[in-house]
Amino acid sequence: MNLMQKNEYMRARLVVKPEVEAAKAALDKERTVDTWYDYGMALSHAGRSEEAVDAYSQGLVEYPFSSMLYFARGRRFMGPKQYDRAIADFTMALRLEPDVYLYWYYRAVTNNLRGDYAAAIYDFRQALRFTQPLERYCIIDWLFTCYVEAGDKEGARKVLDEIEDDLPSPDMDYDYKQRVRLYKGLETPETLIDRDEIRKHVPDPMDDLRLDITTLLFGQYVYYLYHDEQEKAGQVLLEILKDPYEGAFATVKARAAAKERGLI
Amino acid sequence: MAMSKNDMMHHKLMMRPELDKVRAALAESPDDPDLWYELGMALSNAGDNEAAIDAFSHGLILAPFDAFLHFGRGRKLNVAGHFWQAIADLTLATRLDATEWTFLYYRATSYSLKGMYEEACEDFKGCLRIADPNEGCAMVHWLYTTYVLELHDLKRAQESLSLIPAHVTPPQMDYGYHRCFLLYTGQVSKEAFVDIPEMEQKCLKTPGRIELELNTMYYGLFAYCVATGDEAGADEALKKLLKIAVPQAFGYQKALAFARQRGLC
Repeated sequence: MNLMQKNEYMRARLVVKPEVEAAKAALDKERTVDTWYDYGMALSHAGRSEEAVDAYSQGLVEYPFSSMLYFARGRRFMGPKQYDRAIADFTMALRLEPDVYLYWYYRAVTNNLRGDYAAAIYDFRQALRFTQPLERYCIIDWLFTCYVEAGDKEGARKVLDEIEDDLPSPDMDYDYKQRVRLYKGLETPETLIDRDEIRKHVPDPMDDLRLDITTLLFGQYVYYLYHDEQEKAGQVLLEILKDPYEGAFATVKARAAAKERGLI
Repeated sequence: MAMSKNDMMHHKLMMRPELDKVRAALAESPDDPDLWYELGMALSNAGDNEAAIDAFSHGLILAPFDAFLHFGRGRKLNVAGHFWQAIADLTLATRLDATEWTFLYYRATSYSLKGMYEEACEDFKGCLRIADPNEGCAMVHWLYTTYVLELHDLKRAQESLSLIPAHVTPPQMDYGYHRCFLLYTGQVSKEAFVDIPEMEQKCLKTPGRIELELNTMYYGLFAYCVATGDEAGADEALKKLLKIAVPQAFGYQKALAFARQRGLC
């Protein structure tokens, strides 16, 4: 597999939604990394997060050097704020397979969630090395956010030059692309969120677009932070938290930011 | 001078670092994985198991292939009841250092606590293939008791006694296990089995050591009595064990379950 094919494969594995019974049957038929992974994903989508961790762990007993299973388990640890455990798993995945951008990406996001912007920036930059330009919207978006949150406006501004204005994106990165366009001034806070456009691009919109709206609103928050419009930034946080999409990175960050500002 | 392998394991298992001192050392050297191991042990000894797991995890960020950090975290994950996570960590530890039987031993006890007795026995046998025979009494004890009490297989119980020589010179910390081995092999009688003055002379001189050894020994006596059809003796051994009660001891945890089954508590 070349790099693009590998990345496409990994993105596809990220969004699998098997049914628990079918995944268990496949696992009982043959215990491979993929069947353990799918079983864990099925449990995870069914809201059975602890069982998902157990499934990945059980897979790791049989395949102790599976980067995929460490990665999958690490993602589960991001939920209940077990950041050290998440990062330990992502680190192991990276040591086993260092050219998978998603491993760098998720470790970077976890570093950002725990407030270590320098580590996050380093990891996002590593992720860039293993991507083609049109795969980079999510990374550029997060880098911009990291620089803004770290108080480095110049760093944030420069990052936007690392992606072309008119570059297309995979549909799954539509929200990130919109956010980057906002930061670049190609969208405004008012034009950012267009439900019809979202439906055209997002392959599997969740829960009446709530995840996408939440993600885009957080982009508005970062935009206002960047432009030092603190009052508007606070208003957007409250908007997100009116109907929060639980489990979204945007919701986790919005909640933390709102608490820090004394808004909740 | 570098520590021997056994001394290193003993040091890693038994350390009781002071929390404040470890934290101060980490402030100076935050990227030292050994210090994160020590922090994990200090937090565990202070009763904060979850923080201990986080400390080991942090060490693993710095040194993902450090077998001792996986081992340390695995032990604490067991305490937290995260069985499969524990087994995964202990498995990786055994893969990173296949010469360290203690990693396999702890995986075996994890399997046993989970009720996976065949897997536990395979691991105990695996330990015996790596360990010096003089260190084998603990493994033989657990094989014997598992075969008798949980797998109800007296033939394999008897066979397990031949996996180490009849006369071994165990380390001091294995007093109780060795005593059990002597009982199972007929080298000491039930009547002479518990000898407190001898224990005071020969056991490790650490706080609570006699009680810990007695936990092991009464569990062994319980299994031996079951194997030889002495049900009254079996109940008596369990009652004595429960009176001494060392809750963190592996034997105590298993004995409690049997005592409940037998209506003794």
